Amino acid sequence: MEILKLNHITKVYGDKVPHSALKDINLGIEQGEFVGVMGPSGSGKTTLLNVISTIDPPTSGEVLINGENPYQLDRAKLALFRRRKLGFVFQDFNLIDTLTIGENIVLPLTLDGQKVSFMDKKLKEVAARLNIEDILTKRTYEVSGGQAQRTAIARAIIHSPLLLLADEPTGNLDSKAAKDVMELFESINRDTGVTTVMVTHDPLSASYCHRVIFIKDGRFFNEIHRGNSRQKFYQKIIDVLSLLGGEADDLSSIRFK
Amino acid sequence: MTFLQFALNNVKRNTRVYLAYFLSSVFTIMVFFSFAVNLFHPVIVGKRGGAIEQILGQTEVAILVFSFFFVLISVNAFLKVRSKEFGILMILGMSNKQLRRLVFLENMVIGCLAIIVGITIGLVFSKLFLMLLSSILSYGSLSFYFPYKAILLTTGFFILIFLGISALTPLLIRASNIVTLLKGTKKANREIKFSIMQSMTAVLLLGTGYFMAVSPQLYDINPLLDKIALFIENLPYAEIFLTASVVIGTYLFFSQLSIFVLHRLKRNRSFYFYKTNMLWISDLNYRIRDNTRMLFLVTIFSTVAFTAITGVYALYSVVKDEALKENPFALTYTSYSGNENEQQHIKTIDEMLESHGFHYEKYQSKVIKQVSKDSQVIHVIKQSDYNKRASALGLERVVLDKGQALLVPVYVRFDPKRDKTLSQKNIALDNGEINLEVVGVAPKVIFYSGLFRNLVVVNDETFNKITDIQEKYHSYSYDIPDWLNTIEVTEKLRDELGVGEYGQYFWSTRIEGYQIENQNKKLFLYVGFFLGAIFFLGASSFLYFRLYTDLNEEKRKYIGLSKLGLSFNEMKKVASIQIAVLFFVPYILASIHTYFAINVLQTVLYSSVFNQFLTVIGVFLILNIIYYVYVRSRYISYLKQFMVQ
Repeated sequence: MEILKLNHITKVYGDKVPHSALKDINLGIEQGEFVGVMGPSGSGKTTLLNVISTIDPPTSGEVLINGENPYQLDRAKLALFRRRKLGFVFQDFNLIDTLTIGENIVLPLTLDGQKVSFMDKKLKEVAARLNIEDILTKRTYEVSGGQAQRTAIARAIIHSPLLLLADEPTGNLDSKAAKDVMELFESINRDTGVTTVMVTHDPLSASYCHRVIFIKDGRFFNEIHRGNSRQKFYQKIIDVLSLLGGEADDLSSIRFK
Repeated sequence: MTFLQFALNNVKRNTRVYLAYFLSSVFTIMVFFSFAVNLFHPVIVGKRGGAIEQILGQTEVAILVFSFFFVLISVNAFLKVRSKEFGILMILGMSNKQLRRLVFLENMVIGCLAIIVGITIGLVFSKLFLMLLSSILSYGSLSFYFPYKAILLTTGFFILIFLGISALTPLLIRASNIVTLLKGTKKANREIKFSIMQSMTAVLLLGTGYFMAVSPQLYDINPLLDKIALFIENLPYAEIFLTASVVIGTYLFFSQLSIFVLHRLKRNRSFYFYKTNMLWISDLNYRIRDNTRMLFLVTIFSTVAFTAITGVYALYSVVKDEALKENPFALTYTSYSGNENEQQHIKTIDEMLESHGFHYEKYQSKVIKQVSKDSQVIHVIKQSDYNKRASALGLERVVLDKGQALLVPVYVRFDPKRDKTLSQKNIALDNGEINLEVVGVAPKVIFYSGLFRNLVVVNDETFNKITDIQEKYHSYSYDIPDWLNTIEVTEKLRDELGVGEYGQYFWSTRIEGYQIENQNKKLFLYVGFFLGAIFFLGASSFLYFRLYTDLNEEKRKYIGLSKLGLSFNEMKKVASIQIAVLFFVPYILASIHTYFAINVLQTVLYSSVFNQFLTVIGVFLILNIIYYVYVRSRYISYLKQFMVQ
């Protein structure tokens, strides 16, 4: 069953000097898939993710999440939709500085008005899975980047969303932390079956996906599937990227195991 | 964590951001409450409709209006800074309704806390405030009472303000676009534009405002200037026009003129490229642009504070001076010729003064009233009587020929342009029988302000020749050195003599006018001081908040620069100059505004209040320097942590 379906998505910015960020994008993602989106700077990756995230309406085309077009919902229902169906992870973590790590994680449940006992139970589960039980009472400025990103992931999955969306989740991390985070994404996807869409620059991070979609200049360019070997998949990604061209520094974050 | 706890955490863990705002709110509420305690005191309520009730009541309204705008501006600034946070929350699925509720809860937490703390402090100090008021009004002592009405009023009004502002927040957060919210306050530093036209307008508007303020003092310099000054004086709504041009001029000063000046500095290449100059000049450009509204508000608030305090302080400190000028003699009794009790009354006054142990000097004068054919009233006094008074008042004695006359002003502020009688060249008495040439104008009032309009001094011989006598007054003026203590004896005399009788006699004292004025001015000082303090604290709170929110950006900048080799001392210098500009430019501008505002006040006073102006400005300068030193040292020690050493 397709959990996410994009039909003929276009996105145009600007009135006086129109600029097409996305041109006729079609995409279907199955339940439980882990999909990466790659492309050079300015190719429209983040725009695509924002369109899927229900925060940036497409100029034309439709987005269907679980068969429902979120852009047809009114604002209140759309907020509810994001709160219950989606989970987000960002490059710069986007934690709330006034809250502790634990409080940041339960925030989606707080917004949903859940019982405190339920929050505690969920927090325990998710913190154990992400191995951050020790830092729950710390504040955001007291933890490392890797811990902050794990907190963000915990916050994104505590309400068991339908779709987990990640924007360059390893972009601000060192290679060790990046590897940990990607392994977490992989295991969460495997164990809970949450459909995951991740935008990334980094071929190594992308190699954890089941499938990687490439876009260039706002158009669909290519897609490749992972076979049995992550090493080979990684090589294939590099090949497509070099085919894509783009800027030399797009490859600068390559890291070898 | 429930939603309410979430809101509480936001407030609790952001105390550093909210601190100045909170303290300022507490102080405002405390003052409002204390005035309410005064206003609802049973003794004050008993004197319904008095000046005290009016002055206090109007101050309360002013505080409320100030509070509304203060809270509105502050909340608006807080929300702007938090836009990224709101973006995150909305992407996590917070609905608009929840966002409003969050902001509402936070505001109410801060607001309620400020109300509780403000009223508590107010209660603690209420006895002191009542004592202050009772000493001002010389009411003996106003007893303490439990001010439940004041508590209700304060709570009610301030809850209304916080509620009202919370209701306005949807207008303040334009939460339509999450993507822009997420990008936060970080705007790319666009090129800074300024317009020479608008910079000139700033100078022009400020100049116009200042000129209008001093114009009444520009008489008698140049005939053209006189015309302009008179034109301004007759302009309807001149005060509003003046205020508006200074306010708009101030705004343009920060939004255009300051940028223009910095641009000029930039063009001086040998200065601009000298050491750290480039850093602070180019940076100041952006800081002033980003903080235009804040600098403008701080300037206006400071101006209000300085002017209010200088004004009330000046008024208060010249009361005695003004009373002395208004009433050169402590007591003046004037009798009509038909008054049979004249000698009896004078005897009563003399005895009463003596029995109370006062030393006095009595000056008697005869004044003739004439009405000419064109029904102009002339009062005439003879030279010897004038000279007696003149020497008592320390004026020069005069010697007049038979054909000469001296004019005496009837009001303290004699202005030949408006008091036409003082510009007469010739005086005709007895319907033209006696013609006199005016040789000058006496420098001072010699009875008391307002008595004997168009008073003329003539030679004793001429005086005795006057035949056309409408009325002949006998006026007795008492010089009592210890006049400040005459209130009791005056009250007793009032019991005996009353205020006077039409066509018989009337009498007036300096102490009575002084008492009323003194009480009013003290009351003004009391409310004006607190109003000024509220405005000054409000301005300080804005400054604090802006510096605090700028800190993160500054941090990023100085980390980068220190990597390039900027030393700690250089950072200290750059940061000091920048903070100093943000602190002292509004102060200087506000002081200049105040100077001209005081000039307007000067036109209704007889005594110069320049010293009082300097005192107030000086005190605020010291406060500002203390505040600056404190903020700067915290700022620099914070940045120091991040510098690469």
